[in-house]
Amino acid sequence: MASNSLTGRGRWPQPDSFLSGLGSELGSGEAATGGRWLAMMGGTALGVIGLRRSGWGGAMLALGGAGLFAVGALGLRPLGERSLRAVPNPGAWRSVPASRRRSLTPERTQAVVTIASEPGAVFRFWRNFANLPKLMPQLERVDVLSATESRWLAKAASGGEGPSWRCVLDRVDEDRLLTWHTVGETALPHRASLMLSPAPGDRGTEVRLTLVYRVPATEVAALLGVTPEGQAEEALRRLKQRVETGELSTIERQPRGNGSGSFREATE
Amino acid sequence: MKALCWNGTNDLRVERVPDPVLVNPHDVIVKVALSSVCGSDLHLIDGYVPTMRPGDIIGHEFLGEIVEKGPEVRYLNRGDRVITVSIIGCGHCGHCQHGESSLCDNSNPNPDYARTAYGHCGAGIFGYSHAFGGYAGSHAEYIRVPYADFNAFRVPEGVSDEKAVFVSDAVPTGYMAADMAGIKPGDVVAVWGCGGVGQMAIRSATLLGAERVIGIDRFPDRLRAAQMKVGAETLDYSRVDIFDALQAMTGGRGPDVCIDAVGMEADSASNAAEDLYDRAKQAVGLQTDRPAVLRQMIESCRKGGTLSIVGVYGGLIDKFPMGAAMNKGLTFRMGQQNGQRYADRLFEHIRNGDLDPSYLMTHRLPLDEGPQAYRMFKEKADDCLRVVFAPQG
Ligand SMILES: [Zn+2]
Ligand SMILES: [Zn+2]
Repeated sequence: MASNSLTGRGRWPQPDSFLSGLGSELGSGEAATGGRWLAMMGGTALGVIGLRRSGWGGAMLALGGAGLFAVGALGLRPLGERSLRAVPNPGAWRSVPASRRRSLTPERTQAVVTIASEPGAVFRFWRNFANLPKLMPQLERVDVLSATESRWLAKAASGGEGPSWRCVLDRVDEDRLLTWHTVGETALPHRASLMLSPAPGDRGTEVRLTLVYRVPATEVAALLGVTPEGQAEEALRRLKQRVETGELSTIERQPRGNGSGSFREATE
Repeated sequence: MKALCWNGTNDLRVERVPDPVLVNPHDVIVKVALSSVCGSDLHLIDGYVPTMRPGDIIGHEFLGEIVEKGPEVRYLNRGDRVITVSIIGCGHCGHCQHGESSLCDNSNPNPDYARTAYGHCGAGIFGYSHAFGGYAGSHAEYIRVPYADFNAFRVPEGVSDEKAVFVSDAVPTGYMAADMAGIKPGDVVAVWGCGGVGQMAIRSATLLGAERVIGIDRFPDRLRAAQMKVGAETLDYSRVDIFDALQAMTGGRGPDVCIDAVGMEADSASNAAEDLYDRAKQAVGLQTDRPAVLRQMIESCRKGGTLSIVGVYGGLIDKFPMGAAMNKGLTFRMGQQNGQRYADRLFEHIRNGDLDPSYLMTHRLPLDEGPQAYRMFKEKADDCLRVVFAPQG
């Protein structure tokens, strides 16, 4: 993977390359070994903690641990990977000079969802880039500058000003395909596409969002507060809900207790 | 307002919490008149559902009056007396459009737990842990109902609150168990579990053409109710061998349809060794659910028969007799209830006297007695079938 080839360290993953390796697909060389190793170690630890703890919470932990261990040992994609990826590690790439921080091979993420709608509604919603902050909560706003140009401003993941970039649309194939890429100086150079195709039967439209960042996933996460995978999945989930229902399901602002009530055993 | 909150395993408290507010344009706020306990709540209270958080308001079967509505709500009005289906659908995704609202793509705002554990996420459920969306439940004075036009149903004139409240959960769950089993005239149906859902499954099986229905339980009051109220023949599994009894009653064929209205906390009093095995494995986390009923259904069912499962399972089970299931050519149907598909039909059955679920309400109590009420319900004390809270007093 990019991290290992850049740092040129030995066979076993070092802390920084190891973490960045988690951002890649498992099954590709040493980074994959790292992911599996972590899953097995984490699985064992969870299992041990779980068994030592009393009660059902412990039992569930132990179960989770056992499962994670099995996943690691068998070399499958660990269930915990999603949460591991979501942890940004700003330090991971510090030791490498800025000019060399670009990934040699761009990292590609794709998410897909089926939306119960004609492609037109989906396409029109996305085509207006000013709508995109509704789908990507990490964006502050997108200013549409012309028919093909837009300026994107992200929220700051950790204080100060968020990253920004300019985008140019390059392909607009009505109700089928939209591709765009960043131009000029930016900390997050990337290109992206939204592809629509009819689902079989009356199942609506299959929507594929592809993000190709020229920086590693860990760096995207550090700057944007979300990994490319998380960004793509969340955007499509929100797109689907917006188009299908006109709103976003939520449990915001709903009441909950704070343990202040009188304690009474519900059962024996 | 007052609400019954889960604070930990076997720790329920009545607390003062803020009133719910409209959040989305399709929401309504319902002032809860009746809110029933449900057997599946016991899995939460017992700590078998892992994504509960202290402070969560439980309860998912309720009836009340709409007191506020969002700007996009079209078919409901303030003052409407409604039941709300316990499993939330959005009304628009492919599953909701095809009558499988419990598989809704959009109503669970917290899909990652379920996607990690199950591959895909199902619908949100009121008061049923964060894996099912983390929605606040109905054991409270007020509740917010999302996608209200799809999930709330006006109760027809002439149907009392006591009959209507169970159309929220117990009746459609039982009805769906019978419906998806594809019962044909002349079929013999066996129903494991004679709680509220099991009894509704028994009645529904008869409505859908079953020749005989056999209810299985060990609590005398439930067996009596299954016999007297919904016309089942009954078997007490603590006294007879269920396999032998069912074969004897069906000329050695076995029941055509077997319905599981028990779920993950099944016990097998007729087989102490098996029960101990399952409880031990569950205790150390090597399985999450006890499959005693499933094993018994697979063994007892006729060759080529159908198993219909509406008892709730959460995770993994062990020693699942797949060989028997495959070689006997069994069909499995299962799922959380799709009440939106059945509500109108069920109100019609209630109106013309085919169905009267009101007898399930053996106890009606104020919300303040929530913790004791759940204890009574769990221990099946005082012939308790279902406690229903009246949060407005
Ligand atoms: Zn229920
Ligand atoms: Zn839906």
